[in-house]
Amino acid sequence: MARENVTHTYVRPIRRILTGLLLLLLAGIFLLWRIDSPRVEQFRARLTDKVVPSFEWALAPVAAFANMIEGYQSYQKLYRQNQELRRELQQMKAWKEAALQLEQKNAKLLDLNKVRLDPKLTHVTGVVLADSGSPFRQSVLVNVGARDGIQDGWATMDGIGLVGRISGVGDRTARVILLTDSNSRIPVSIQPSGQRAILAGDNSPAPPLEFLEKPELVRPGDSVISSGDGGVFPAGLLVGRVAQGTDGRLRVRLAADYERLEYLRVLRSRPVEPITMPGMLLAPAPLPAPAPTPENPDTSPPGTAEEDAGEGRDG
Amino acid sequence: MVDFALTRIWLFRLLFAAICGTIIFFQLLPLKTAPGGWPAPDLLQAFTCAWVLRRPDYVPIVLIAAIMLLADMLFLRPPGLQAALMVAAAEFLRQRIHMTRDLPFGVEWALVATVLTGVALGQRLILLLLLVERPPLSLFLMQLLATILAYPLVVFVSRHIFGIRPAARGKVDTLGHRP
Repeated sequence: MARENVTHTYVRPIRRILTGLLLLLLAGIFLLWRIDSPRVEQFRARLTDKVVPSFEWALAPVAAFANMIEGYQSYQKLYRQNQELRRELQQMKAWKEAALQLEQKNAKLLDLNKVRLDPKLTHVTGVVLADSGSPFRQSVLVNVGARDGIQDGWATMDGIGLVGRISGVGDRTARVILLTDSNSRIPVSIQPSGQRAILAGDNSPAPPLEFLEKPELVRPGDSVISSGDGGVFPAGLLVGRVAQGTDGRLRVRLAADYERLEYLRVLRSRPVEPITMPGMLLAPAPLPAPAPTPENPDTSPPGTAEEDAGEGRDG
Repeated sequence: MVDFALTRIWLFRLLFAAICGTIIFFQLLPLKTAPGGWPAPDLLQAFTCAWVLRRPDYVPIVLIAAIMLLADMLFLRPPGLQAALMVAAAEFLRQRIHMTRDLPFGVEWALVATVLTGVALGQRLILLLLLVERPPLSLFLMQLLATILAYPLVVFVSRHIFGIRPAARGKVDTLGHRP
């Protein structure tokens, strides 16, 4: 008993010191994060990169199983669902026909105009490994990373609409900040009025539009696409449709299916060439204008001038 | 006998780490990627409090710190903040074990609710002072409430599935004070 009392008196101060040291260490980490956030965030990305893929083997089957249970619950409404699907299929067939015709028409028009699509706008497809695990952050982790050439800031889509942007790249994983996250701000434009706005995530399923110049020109149902302002995002990606929230604010119903994010496309985008001077919009002349020859001064210059102008418009 | 007791303690420490790992794993599963709805309770906090109040020797302070720091890192929280507060809270609860031992469960529940509220408020206050962006207050309070409501369930699971009961008074001196 006496011996135990002795250990007891030793144990308590040691425990105090240990606790104090731990608290200091943790507070130090927090302060370091506050002071030098990028470095700690890099460390976080690397840690996530180590930890999450190590249980990738378990993530997929468990998630699939959970989805199956969810699906099983919906079997109760199977009949009604079937009817609905049949009706939708009918509508879809009509749409498919329209889409095929439009596609052909579009291809013909593109051909007529000699439009060349940007060959660098290709994508890498990744599987969603994990989400943020916290109700306050809306982000997912995909299984492509720096080794696949992913870079911070690239846009991410599911099959249909914009989902978010890459923020935090590890070697094998990358984090996608979803449009619904409260840190997400995306420049968008609203069609057909052409109004520019910022889509600001606020942890709700339908993020609001901010900085609209003329809200009266925007109606619920208008389509919202990314505008490419600021050079961060490629322009013209479908984001969703305008809807009026219960609080009267204009919000965007996102086109991407946020309930089921399984495969995401990361669009490879390249930095837009900066335009610093007004003259930079035109392509520079390939050669200095040849000095007019004294014999026939008015045969060659008009032709070259036209060619130059044509090239300038193409580029 | 001593060896058996030591092995048992280490086994239960491992079990605690495994439970926390499972909780983290399930929170990371991309089951709910759309926002909205009721936030899930922070089961890591609830399990830590429940185990500290029952068998403090099974949850050494270093283990709590390590698990909470890992959770901070993986769940995109400010790293170290919640971990530090939880270490302090666990130490606070550890010193009050003898108070809750003979009292009804309601008292323990109230104590844990107070401590968890303290952790949450402390976290918000520090973030406010250091001008860090804070999660929306309503969601934050909803999660705190969910955690407090989940606490009895966590205690029930700990007691009847993992067999974590407060050690009888006589036993504490042989097991509880082992460093």
